[in-house]
Amino acid sequence: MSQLYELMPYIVMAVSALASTVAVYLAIVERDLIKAVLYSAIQSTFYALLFYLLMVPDIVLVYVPVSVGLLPAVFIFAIKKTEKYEEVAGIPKIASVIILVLVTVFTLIAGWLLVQSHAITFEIFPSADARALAKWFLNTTLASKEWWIRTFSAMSPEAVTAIVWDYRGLDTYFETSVMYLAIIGALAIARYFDIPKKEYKEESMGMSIIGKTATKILVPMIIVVAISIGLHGHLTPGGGFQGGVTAAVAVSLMIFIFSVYFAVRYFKIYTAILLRIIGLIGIALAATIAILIALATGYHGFIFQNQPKPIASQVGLPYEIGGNLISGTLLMFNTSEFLAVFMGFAILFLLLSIPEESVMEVIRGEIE
Amino acid sequence: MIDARSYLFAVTYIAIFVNIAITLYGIFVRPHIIKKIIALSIFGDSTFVWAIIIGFRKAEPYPVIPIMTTWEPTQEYVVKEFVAKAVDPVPPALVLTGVVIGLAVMLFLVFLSIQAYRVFGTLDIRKIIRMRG
Repeated sequence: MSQLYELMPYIVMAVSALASTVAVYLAIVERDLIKAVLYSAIQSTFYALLFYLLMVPDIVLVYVPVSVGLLPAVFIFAIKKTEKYEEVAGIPKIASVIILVLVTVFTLIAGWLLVQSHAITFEIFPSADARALAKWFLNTTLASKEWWIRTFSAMSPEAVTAIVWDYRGLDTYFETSVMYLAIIGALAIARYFDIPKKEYKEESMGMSIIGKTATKILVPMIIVVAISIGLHGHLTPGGGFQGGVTAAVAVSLMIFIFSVYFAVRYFKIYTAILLRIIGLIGIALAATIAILIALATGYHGFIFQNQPKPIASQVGLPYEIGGNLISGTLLMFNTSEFLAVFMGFAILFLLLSIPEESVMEVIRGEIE
Repeated sequence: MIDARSYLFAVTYIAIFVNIAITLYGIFVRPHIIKKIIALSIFGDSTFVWAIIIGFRKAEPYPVIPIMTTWEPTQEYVVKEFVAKAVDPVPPALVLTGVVIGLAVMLFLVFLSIQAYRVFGTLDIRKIIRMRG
């Protein structure tokens, strides 16, 4: 009995993986696009379960709002504005069979290569040994008393946030700039569109009174949970990315349940852009704060430096203030990234929810 | 003797590969652009699961999350226990940013396809190709 109990996580893992395969198949063959989006949301739920069982709560916190909440909402927006059904008549049979065979061969080769590379071995499925890099990060993320470990430490018990913002901080910086470019692209496409000036009317807009009342209770709670996830990122699972996408769910709920005219009372597009710029400036400041302190005091400093390094550089941020662990720059990064992600997705949702009539007026004016 | 856990884990692994094959088929064969974007997002998620699976490890009775549960700079044995049991923290750090940036890129693609519908009046890729040529 106890053996079965120990096997339980693996059984749930296998069952949810198989269920996700069924959901993916249904999502791909379904002609009704709304149904396809719902099947893909079901698949995302099973993937979230898989992530939880694979012991990565950070990914669960970011994956559930993104793939179960925001992405289906965006797709439903797009389907509402365009076509509801997919026309599948006239796909040549032979071509699709050939592509299916090629794709299967490709995945088999990819899987075989992965097994050959000893990243995954079948006999003892995951090896008990971790990679050297992982051991190094786990060893140094919260330093013990030796000064040489203190030299490499991020002083945070959360290894994932420490890697994201300290050990591999430059990678995350450039990934944030990729997101920045995506939002700039969306703003450039929608450069002449604006939300029409209309008053929000309680009776005639949005969903029923039940949905509105529930949303009024839920939205402040979602925002509070999001801020909590964002600010505790260096201590518990969570961080700026997770908190930002969770808070963006509140914006999408407001647009969906009430209407865009209700949402613009709280989030004007230009205010959102301004707050997002403040967040990005905060990230740049946190990245260079050690070097700024070093310039002011006449010591050496580095970009993306967090803790003082006993050999190379004496400056750095303290890891605690009054007995509270703040992990140096990690708290600053998480707060700024929370603001940047939250406001970035708020901008995209507001642009996406501009009514089609006013957009068509602008486009016709451009063409003529 | 092979552990029963190995079988169950292999089932998970193969199921993710089947997902990748199905979504690639969807990207190449299905004609509607929104359906292609849905398939693309599922493809990305499957590769994320794949990356996380590589970071998983075997520990008795079960591995722990890569997050310490004590606050202060700790004693030796706590760190040793942690390093012996925690899963690899590098793949979650990569996937974390990947999910959020993936969402931003998906939103941008949705923007482009809505704009294409405004200009062409359809989202069927075959009809759009015929219009251009």
